This record gives sequence, C-alpha cells and structure tokens, in this order.
Amino acid sequence: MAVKKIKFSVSTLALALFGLVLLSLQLMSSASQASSDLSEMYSWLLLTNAVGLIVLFCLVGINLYSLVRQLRKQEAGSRLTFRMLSLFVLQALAPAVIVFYFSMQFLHQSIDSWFNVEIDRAMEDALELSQVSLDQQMRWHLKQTQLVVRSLANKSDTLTAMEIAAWRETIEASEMAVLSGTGRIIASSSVNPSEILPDLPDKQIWLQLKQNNQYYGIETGAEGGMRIRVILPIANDQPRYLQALFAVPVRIADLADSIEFAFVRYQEMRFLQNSLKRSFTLALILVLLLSLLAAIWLAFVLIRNIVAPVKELVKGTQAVAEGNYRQQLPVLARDDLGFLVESFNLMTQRIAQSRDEARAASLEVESQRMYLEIILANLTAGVISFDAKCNIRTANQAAYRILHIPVSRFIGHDLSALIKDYPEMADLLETLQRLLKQGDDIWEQRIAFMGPNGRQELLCRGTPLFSQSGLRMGAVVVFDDVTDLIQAQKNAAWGEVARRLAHEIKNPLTPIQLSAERLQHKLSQELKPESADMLQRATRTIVQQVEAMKRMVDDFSVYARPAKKQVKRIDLLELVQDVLNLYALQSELTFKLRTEGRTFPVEVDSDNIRQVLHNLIKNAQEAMEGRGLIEIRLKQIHKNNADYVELAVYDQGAGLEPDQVASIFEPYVTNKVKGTGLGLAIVKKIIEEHGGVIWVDTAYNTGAGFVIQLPGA
Amino acid sequence: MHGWLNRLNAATLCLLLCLPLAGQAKTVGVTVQAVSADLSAAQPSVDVRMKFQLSSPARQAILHGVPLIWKVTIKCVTPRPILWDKVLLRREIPLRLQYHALLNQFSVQKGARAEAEMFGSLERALAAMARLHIELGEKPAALVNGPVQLSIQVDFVREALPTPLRPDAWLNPQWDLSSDRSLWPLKK
Repeated sequence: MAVKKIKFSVSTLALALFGLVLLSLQLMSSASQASSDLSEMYSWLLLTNAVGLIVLFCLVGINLYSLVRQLRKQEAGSRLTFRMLSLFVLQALAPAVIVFYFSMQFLHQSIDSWFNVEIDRAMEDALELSQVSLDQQMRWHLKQTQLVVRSLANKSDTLTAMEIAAWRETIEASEMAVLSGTGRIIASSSVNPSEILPDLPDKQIWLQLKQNNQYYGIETGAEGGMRIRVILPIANDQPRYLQALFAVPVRIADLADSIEFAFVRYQEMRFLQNSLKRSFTLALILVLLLSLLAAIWLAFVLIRNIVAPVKELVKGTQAVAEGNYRQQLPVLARDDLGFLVESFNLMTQRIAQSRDEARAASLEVESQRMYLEIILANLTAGVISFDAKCNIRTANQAAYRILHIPVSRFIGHDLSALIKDYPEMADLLETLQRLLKQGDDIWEQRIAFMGPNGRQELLCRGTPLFSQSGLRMGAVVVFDDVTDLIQAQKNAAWGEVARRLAHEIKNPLTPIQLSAERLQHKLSQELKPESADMLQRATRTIVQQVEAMKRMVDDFSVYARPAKKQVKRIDLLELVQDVLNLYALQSELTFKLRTEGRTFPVEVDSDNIRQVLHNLIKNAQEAMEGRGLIEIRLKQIHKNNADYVELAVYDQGAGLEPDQVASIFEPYVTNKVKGTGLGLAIVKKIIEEHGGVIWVDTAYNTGAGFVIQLPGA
Repeated sequence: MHGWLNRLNAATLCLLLCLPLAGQAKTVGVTVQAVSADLSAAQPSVDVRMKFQLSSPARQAILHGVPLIWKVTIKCVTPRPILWDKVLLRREIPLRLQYHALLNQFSVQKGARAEAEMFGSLERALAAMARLHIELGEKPAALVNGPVQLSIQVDFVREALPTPLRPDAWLNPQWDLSSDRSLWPLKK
C-alpha cells in the first residue's frame, strides 16, 4: 500500500512536472513574439525549459542505466523491456524527427519569404520619401526664417521684441525667440501664451551653431510630434540668434512616424532574421526533445508496468522449475496478463496438489514395496524374478540361503554369469535356464544339486509374467528346499514297508525253519539211509534259505529304518584306518591308502560310516573274488563356500556295466549271484542321511570306483 | 578507481584548455575611466567618465534600429574586514542608445525620465553617453564618518534586446558589453 502511495506521488509529481514544462514551452513560444508581454520573461522561460530538459534527461538516463544493469545481470523481463522500449523509441523518434525537419524547413522558408529585394527597396524608398518631404519642409521654413532674420537685422532688442510676434504669425511658427550669444533670451513669442519661456537649444545645438553659424534640424517634440528648429544669426552689433520652431503638420508627422516605425521594424526584423530562425529552431528543438524525453520516460513507466506481471511470471516459472510449487504470484491487473497470472497460480496449485498426491502415492507404494520385500525376505522359499531377456531382476534372501550364491550381485545378468562363477551349480542353473527359455507355461520340476550342506533337492516352479498387452515381460521362479521333506517321506514310506514286511514275512520264517528241523529230527531215524540223506539235504536247504530270507528281511529293515545317528566329530582317516586294520589279516587283499591332507574332520555317526566302509570293501572283495588291490583315497575339497571330505574306494574287479551305473544304488539291484541288492542302497541311504553324496566314478576303468563326499566339520 | 582518475584528468584538461579564454583581455564593452565625487556639498554628486566600445554585432544591431540599454549602478560602500561591505547609498541610472532612421540621428537618453539628446553620429552619441553626472540625493550621515568607497558597475541589459536576439546575446561573448565592478576610494 505504501509502495502504491509512493508510486502515485511520483506519478503525480511527474505529471505536474510535465505540465509545467508544457506550460513553460507555450509561454516561451508566446514570449518569442517581440510584442508579447511575456518577452521580458523569455530568458527565464528558456532557462526553465532547459532545466526541465535536463531533469527529464536525467530521469531517462537513470532509467536507461538501470535497464542496462538489468540486461547485464540478465534479469527477468529486461530483454522484453529493452525490445519494447526500442520499438517505442523508434516509432516515436521517426515521425517526430520528420515533423521537426519539415517544420524547420517550413519555418525557415516562411521567415525568408518575409524579406526580399522589392520590400527592401520599397521600405528604403518610403523612408527616403519621408525624409525628402521633411527636408523640403525644413528648407521652406529655413527660407522663411532667413527672411525674418534679414528684416530684424541691425534692429534694437526692443524693436525686435515688438516685431517678433508679428513675424511669428507671418511665417506660422509655433515659437520664435531671439537669443544672445550666451543663450540669454532677448525676446520670444509663442503660439501658446501660457508658455513664457521658449524651448532653448541644448549644448549640442549651440556647438553646431557655433561651428556652422546656423542650425536647422528636425526634432521630436515633448508631446511626441515633430518640429523643425531653425536658428540663424541676426546681423547686429551684439551676437544675436533667431530661433524659430515650426510644428510639422500632424498628418505628415504621423505618416513619417509610421513610415519610420515600419522601416525600423523591418530593419530590425531583417537584422534578426537569422536570430529569429535560431530562436524558433531552439524552441522547436526544445519541444522535440522534451516531447521525446517525456515520451521515453513515460514509455519506461508504462512498459515497466506491463512487463511487471511478465517478470513475476518468469520468476514464478523459475521457482516451479526449481521444484517450488507453492509459488503464488500477485495479480497486478485485471487484463490479459492478469488472467495469465491467475491461470499460472491455478496451474501451480494443481501441480502442487498433484505432487503431494504423487508423493503420498509414492510413499504408499514404497511402504507396500517394503512390506512385500519384508515378506519376500522372510519367505522360506527362494524367489528370483527375471526380465524378458531372462536377466535377473530381483532375488530374495531365501534364494541365497538355499543356493548359497549371492544372487543379488548378478542382478542385470542372466544365469550364464552365475554358471561362469559357480560351475559346480551348472546343472541346476542350466536346467533353470532351459526351463525359463522353453515356454510360456507354468512349469514345475524337482532339481537336485550338491550344496555346501550336501545334496539338496529343490522343488522349482516357474511362472511367466505377461503385460496387459500380452507381451512376455519376464518370469518368476520360486523354489523350495524339499530335501528334508523328501528324505522324511522316503523314510516314512520305507519304514512302513519294512514294518509290514518284517511283520508279514519274518513271522512265518521261524515256523518254517522249526518245522523243517522237526521233520529232520523225527523222520531221519525212520527213513532209509538214502531217504534220510535226502531229507537232511532238503532240511538243510530249507533252513539255509530261511536264514537267507531272515537276513534279507533284516537287511531291508536296516535299510528302511532311519539310522539312529549319534553324530560326533571324528577324523575320517582314523576311522578308515580302523576298518582297514580289521582287513589286514586277510592276506589275499591289499589296501592302498592315499591321502591328500593330514586330517579329515567330519561330523558323522562312526558306526554308520563304518558300515558304509564295510559294505564297499566287501563289494570290492567280492568283485575281485577275494584277492587284489583295493585303493582308498582321502582328500579335502572346497566348493560352494564349504569344505568337504572326499572318500573314494577303487577295486580291480570286473567293474560295472554302463546300464548298471544309473541304478546301482537302488534296492535289489545287484550283479552278484548271492546278494540282497541292498548293500549299496544302504550305503547311499547312510551317506545321504549324513548330508553327503555318493556316485560311481565312471572315469575309472580298471574296476569299480565309488566316490563319497561328506560335509567337513 | 581508474574511472575516477580518468574523470579527474579530463576535468583538468578542460580547465587547462579554458585558461587561454579566461586570460583574454576585453576589447568590447564599457570601461570606467575616471570617477570624481563631491560628497561635501548638500547634494552630493558623482561624475563618471566611461568609455563605450561596441562590438560588430552590437553596431549592426544599433544601425538596424535595435535600442541598446545599459544600467549604471553606483553604490557608496563602507568596507568591512570580515563581513561584506556596508552599502550607504545606491543609485541606478539607465542609459539608452537608439538610432532614428528618419532623422538619421542617434538618440541618447540618460535616466528613465530624461529627454533624449540627438547626435548626428554614433561616436558622438557614445561620447555623450560616456559622460555621466549623477545627483546622489540626500546625504546619509554615515557618509561623513569613516572611509567610503564608490562602487560602479555598468551592466548591459540583454533582457532589453528583442527576444530572438537574447539567446545569441547570452551565448556570444561579443555581446558581453558590461563593465567589471570597480571600486573608487573617495576623498571627503
């Protein structure tokens, strides 16, 4: 409000100043006329206008300086102001200069047209005519005075005084006087009886009289008219002078005055011709400059008011560009620009509102994402998402726990990168890769691999992801470690089978054996020796077969029964050496123990592992028919960020057929004549229960080779 | 800093360039040549003898009928060491010189109400104008006591010129027809 009041005061002052200058210009223009009453104030008016010009010049200069500074600082609105001002000045200057130029031309030509040779000659001729006329009058009166002088010659002063009045009337003089040589009045006569004293000549006239011995001339009278003064010496003993004053006829005097006045005025104007042009030019220049400067200054004020909302808009857009959406601009006027400013304010309000809503939505999305991440992180199942190019996008914590691979480090890469860094996981990863690429359907597969804790089995389920437009945009693979679950299921199934078989099969075996032995006992005395011998062989066969069946059922029970593990940390080398010591007495077998390392700590049930060793050695012994070399190798390996102990048993027997390798560890698979086919199945079961893995070394061709890997302690 | 130094140098140069102009002796205008005063009489009076030298533009002006007017200012002052001089008496006498084309004579009028004297030539008119007798009027008491000086200044009245001529008169040094202020000590 205070700013508005100050602006109003400044505007009012400026308008008042402008009005004063205009008034001063008008007055100066009027004062330029020599006959004007304002001519005395001309210089002051000129000075006032000059001061006004300087003030306006300073105002414009200040504004210009301010604009240049704004341009250098590249302030908002400065360039627009400069352009508008330039256009305005150009528009104002061009016609003003044109008008000024042609006005000047017209003015100069007009002034020049006032004077020409004919008028000069006419004025001079008129003045000369007046002068000749007056001169003729003067000469006539001189002759008349000479007549009187001749008649008064050598007469006494008394007589002269008596005749002077008559002579005055005769020659129609307005005044006649006789003066002595010193200027003393001897006699006088005047047409006006109230004038006692004659109009005496001044010193200059006396001087001329003394020099020329006569004087005659025209002079202006006290009342403004003309008169002719003639002074002639009178011949006498004493120096005497006769002065006669003749009034020039009023008409002639008026005409002569008029002609003189016109001539003087014309001469003055002739003399002032260039000065007149200059003064009018000066006035025009003042008008031009004052008008231009006032217009420019007014342009500054008006353009500033017009550009102000634009400047505010620029500042507002800059603020919006910097992220400040709360910027509200003042509406300075109710016009198109004011409407623009209002629209801008509305726009920023809506942007701010949208931004707040977007921010809130983003926060909500972020919290939901965090929520999902927490859920994913706490899932027991591993979740890996892939993009359309099968590059890893996300992986949760469980994926790392299950796979023991920092999958999150490979985000943006496909599974080939993981295979390259973790070749031991190649089987699993290549299977996943193949399944990802193969189709657009949901797939499910159980995949086994060797993890740091031993053999793991994963139940993998893959789901392709499609966008709303139907394009494949990736896939999600969810996998669970079902190793323990499967093991438990197997154990439960085999346990149930073993329980039922033990119950159903084992029970009849004892009565069968007892019945056969009773028959043997009862009938052996009553039969002939041949029949008794046959009975004895048959009974022995029954008993042996029953025993074999009992053993088979016992073996099966052992296989099916979950091993009661008493796990403790042992050195596998010591256990192997203990077992080998038991076989040392059998001279047909040679054992070779090769170790890579000094200790091989494992956490196992010693009895179970001992059983494993016995089964393997027994198989090797049977394969070599009781003689030959059995090589046992022990070494430590490190893979999947975990330590393992590898135990290998090699014999020099017949080896395994290729079609036997895949199923050698299944129950009832044997190449021996006598055998339950459960030995290797039991070995595999024990090893897997310890988290290890066993396989056939197919590279070994001399016999059969079995390799066991157990987790290290 | 450099801007200020440059401005100072420019101002100094301008001043140096103007020095020759400042030192030029006046060849036109009025010079008060002699002053005599009779302060002891009941009606003190002062006789001033001046010399008028008209410039070429002034001569042309007078011959073309433009009247030229001077104002003679006479002051009796008592000089004071610290303050300005005390003015005891002040008189202003206008002098008017004009050419009458019809009579081919130059009129000289000394004083606002005085009769004009006619002269046949400009030089005689200027010579007549150069002699001035001024009655000071009633004598102030302070005139008797203490030192008294007579201050005379003859100013050419440019404002009496026709308006178109005035800007020229203010700007053209040829129209500087005034005299300097002169101080004349008076003997009582």
